[in-house]
Amino acid sequence: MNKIKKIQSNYPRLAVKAANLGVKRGGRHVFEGITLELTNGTLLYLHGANGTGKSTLLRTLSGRLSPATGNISLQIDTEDATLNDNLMVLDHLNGLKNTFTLLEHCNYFVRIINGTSPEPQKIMHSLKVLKLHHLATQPIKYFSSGQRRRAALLKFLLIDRPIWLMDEPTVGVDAENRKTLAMMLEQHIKKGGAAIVATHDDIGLKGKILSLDHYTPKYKDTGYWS
Amino acid sequence: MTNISVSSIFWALIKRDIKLSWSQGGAAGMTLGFFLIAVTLFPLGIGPEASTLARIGPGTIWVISLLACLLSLDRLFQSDFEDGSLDDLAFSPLNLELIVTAKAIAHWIATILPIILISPLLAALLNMPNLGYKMLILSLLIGTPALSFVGSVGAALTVALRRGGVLLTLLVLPLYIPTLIFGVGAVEAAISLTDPFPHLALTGAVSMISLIISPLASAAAIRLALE
Repeated sequence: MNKIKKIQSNYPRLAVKAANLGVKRGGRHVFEGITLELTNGTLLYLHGANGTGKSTLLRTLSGRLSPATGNISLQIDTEDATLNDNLMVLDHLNGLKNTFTLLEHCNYFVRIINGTSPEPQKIMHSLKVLKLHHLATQPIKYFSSGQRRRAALLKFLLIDRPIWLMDEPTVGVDAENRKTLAMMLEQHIKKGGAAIVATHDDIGLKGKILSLDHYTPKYKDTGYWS
Repeated sequence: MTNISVSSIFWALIKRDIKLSWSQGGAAGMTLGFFLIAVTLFPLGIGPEASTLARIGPGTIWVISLLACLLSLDRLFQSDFEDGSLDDLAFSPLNLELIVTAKAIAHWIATILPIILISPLLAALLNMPNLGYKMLILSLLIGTPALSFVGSVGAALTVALRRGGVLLTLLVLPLYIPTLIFGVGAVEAAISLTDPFPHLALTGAVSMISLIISPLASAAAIRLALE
């Protein structure tokens, strides 16, 4: 135990362990034998060609897809905890409502995910970080796709959760805001959070890399009922 | 999580959904419009003879309420599913059973309640006897929660389908039959001066059962869709 480095951490000690994960979708084995571990301060990049299962792995880790083999566990301060309450996930879809203004979206989002009444200062701060504050009272239907992506990234600032899963966070986001994203991730890691980012781009932060190309099953498919 | 935060999330979700269904592209306004127009068609199609209209009045209003409800159901989960909000909701501390319950309640308040409130007006159009008005509203109030809850199961099952509306109708409409029979029965009983209470009790029983069972079924269907 004396080998563990002391990390300046705002989050309790956490350990996500996934062992021997294998996932089947529509009768096809997407990947198999993935083992990964996440602790405070881990930044893990998922690389891999299209269709190697980056999104599928994130869906599996976030508990929406049950793996065919293997298991996932989360321990906080060496006690078992539910993954769902400690995750914040960005998918391909942005989860925005066209008719809401950005401010309404933030208010409802905080209320529904956190159960607390939103703090206006925190929302304004988050909007400023992602340079969306001038759009606060605009209905989301008038946003460009890059602005929508940034609005989706707001969730990581609005709600404080230790584990971030991001699926292609840079799609449609301009160079300046990619730096902001890198800064967000850096601060999160420094605080003792953990993050998995599936991306084709270079975020500009050092992290571990898991290439899903190596986990593609070797054998032929045998059909849905196998 | 404390109880306080769970209930506040529950109410926030209901408020959000009501707001969405009355905003642009929401189903509530159109459903109310459909209800008005469809009921108005009956005197035009059947003819203005007062006694005939009075005879079919309660049944017409109940049947069109069912259809109006169905019309609005296919967007119940689908809009959230398509824009990814449903995925976000899955990370709320509220479990999925409570989330679908909140959404069904919001559907009832936003879409069905306006129909109930306007139904006396249409009953007058159909020359319904005075004795039936109170019972019409009462039976709709007691019976229609079953429509939202049973319908939510169908909406959850068809959430990932592009043209799920017709399949939803086929799935859900047969399950509406008990509510329809007992709901209309209560109004007719009140009009014919017999005891409407047994009908009302059965209508209420259907609503209660659907309130218990359908959130479990809807949540299971949504989990499948989110895979």
